[in-house]
Amino acid sequence: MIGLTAGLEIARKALSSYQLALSVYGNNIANVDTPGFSRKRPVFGEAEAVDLPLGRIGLGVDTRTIERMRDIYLDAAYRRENTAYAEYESLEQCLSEVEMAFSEPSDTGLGDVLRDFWDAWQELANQPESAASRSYVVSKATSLSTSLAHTSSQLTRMRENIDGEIAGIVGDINSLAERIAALNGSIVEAEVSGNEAGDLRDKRDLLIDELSGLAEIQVFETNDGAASVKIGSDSLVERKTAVLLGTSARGDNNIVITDVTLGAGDRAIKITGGRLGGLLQSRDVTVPEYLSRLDEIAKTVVEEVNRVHRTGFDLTGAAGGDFFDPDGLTAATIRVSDAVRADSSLVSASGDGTPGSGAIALAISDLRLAGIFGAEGASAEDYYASLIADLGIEAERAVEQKETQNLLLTEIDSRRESVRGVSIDEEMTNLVASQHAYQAAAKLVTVIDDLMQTILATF
Amino acid sequence: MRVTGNMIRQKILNNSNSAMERLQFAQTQLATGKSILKPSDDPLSLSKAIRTRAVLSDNEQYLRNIEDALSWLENTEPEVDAMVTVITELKEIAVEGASDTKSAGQRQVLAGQVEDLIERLVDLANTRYAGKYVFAGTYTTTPPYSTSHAVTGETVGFPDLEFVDLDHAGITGGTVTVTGGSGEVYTEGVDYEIDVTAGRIRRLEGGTMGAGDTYFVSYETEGIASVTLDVPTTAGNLVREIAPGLQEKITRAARRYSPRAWTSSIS
Repeated sequence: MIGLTAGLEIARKALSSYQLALSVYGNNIANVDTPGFSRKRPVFGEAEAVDLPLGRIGLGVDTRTIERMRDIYLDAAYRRENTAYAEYESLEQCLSEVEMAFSEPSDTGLGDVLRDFWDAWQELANQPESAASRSYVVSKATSLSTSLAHTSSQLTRMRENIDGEIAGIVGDINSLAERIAALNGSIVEAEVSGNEAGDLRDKRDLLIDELSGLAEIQVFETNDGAASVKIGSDSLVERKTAVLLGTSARGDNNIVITDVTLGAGDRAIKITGGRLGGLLQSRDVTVPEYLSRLDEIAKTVVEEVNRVHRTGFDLTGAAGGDFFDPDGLTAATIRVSDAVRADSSLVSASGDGTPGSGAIALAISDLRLAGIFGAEGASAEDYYASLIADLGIEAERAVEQKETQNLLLTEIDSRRESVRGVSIDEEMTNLVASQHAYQAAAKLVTVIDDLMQTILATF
Repeated sequence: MRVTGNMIRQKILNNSNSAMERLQFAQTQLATGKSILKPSDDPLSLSKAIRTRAVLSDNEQYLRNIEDALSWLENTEPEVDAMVTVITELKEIAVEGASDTKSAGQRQVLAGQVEDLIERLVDLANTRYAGKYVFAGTYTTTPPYSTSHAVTGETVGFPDLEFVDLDHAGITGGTVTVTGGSGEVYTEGVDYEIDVTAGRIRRLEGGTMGAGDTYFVSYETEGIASVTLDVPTTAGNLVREIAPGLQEKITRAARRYSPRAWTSSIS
């Protein structure tokens, strides 16, 4: 038999343990909607027992620790998938903007302008001596150049906007890195005592989650609780210090674009994944690809129309010159030559110098059917149709990848939530259980008090 | 699995969100009347649609081309009909004129009628539609037939230095060449003098032309009306170019008693 005072001690430990439990559950309930919050749980253990003749008996309860409910594997999986999701999301946004730039299907897209252009040459072949048909061809060619230039400038402006966003994200990454580094310091300091700094870790995990959406990162935790973050193969956060990213500008295709560099060394680093990776991919691969295909259309139209045009004769019977300005070989610079714009009689429609011949106009219109567009030698319509189809397929794939990734991410997040999330029902039950335990422990105090009274009254 | 209120809420939100997205898409389809709103909705169908639209647009243009050609032909047809009528009339005159009972005066009247009909024929041949000469091949901006009349090798002799009348008055300046029997060419102002308005020529003193010799004068007249048909050697060409290097020459050999006064040849 242990002494009555020892019984009181058991009751005291129980009271303080359940009081602590009530605070922990109360805090969980209070933070039910706090982003990044992980529920906490008091871990009780039996206090050291004493050896009695009949066996060992525990001397009450001890609160060993306050456990933060978290699964680091799920965290790692969430971040990995979040990186991929953010990348697909930004690619999908970019492709959807490219789709808007081409505005297909519509009656005003580049496809229609191209068709009008070829048709105008047939009209000219019908009425080669008519000034109206000549002006019509020049006007349709001007529409074509305007439309190509407009689409091209939209794509170029997209690249510039993306570039602006890249600079902004570099700033976000730096700010996150600095805050993670600062939290590393606080956590190491707070955990010297051996207690887990749950609130600080929640904050840091939230920041790392956010960072994982911006770029592909790797996170390692050291024994003292500091998290080091690597971006690519370079260290971004090393214990209490953050190595900041920088930017350096360079010219590319008539615009200025930003390279991401590490620290002050201006060493360009390769960044994959995440929103930043997606934006870099959009700016450097996706958009330029469609720009170059627009340029291919412009270049082929200019070169081939000029080539055929030069073999013809204008209204006065003089040998034909260039129809398009031969220096404007990109979608941004294609234009009808100044001479032709000033005098539509210079359009050479005639194959033999007679004003009523439309042989060259017809030959130019037939260029649309010749396999001269692109490396694989497609007709004008096929080339444009496959450009739009490729764009559609790429955009469709981006949408699908984004959605699949979103499902995966939601699933992982839900599993993570299952571990760390606060369930009000559960907390209420815990509250009631702790309350009962507390009441019982209080009762124990009363009982022991009664016993003591009884003993004292005996004397 | 532990399920928290947050998880339930999130799931409901996600599902309702994706349902709303589908609703919005369907409503946009409804409002625009298009099943494909952007290429990614259905890339392969869209690319087919673009190709089909190209073919459609080609065919629309072909239809316009055909209509153009049809209206061209429709406007040409009445002119050809009118020409056939003129030619029938010419044949009738020729038959009438071939009779021995006609006096020179009556033939002169018939010749005048032929002149008018020739002019009518030339007018018809120079018909324009939509600003183009219909029968001009691809030389659509210049009149294909001119009413000038070419005379080749009219023979003249100069017994004295007086003016000798040529067959035609109203000669186009600069079209006159005078040659001798062995092909030698004489110079205007040195060897001879010509009065284009009246259609007269005379030998100049001090020139190399002789009094008893025969010379050949070629020239073109301004307007066919100046043709006088009672001179047997009168001949003229109506020349039009069909294509580069390919000329159609209508040779008019005005022989007094021949019913076939016109031949057409392509050279």
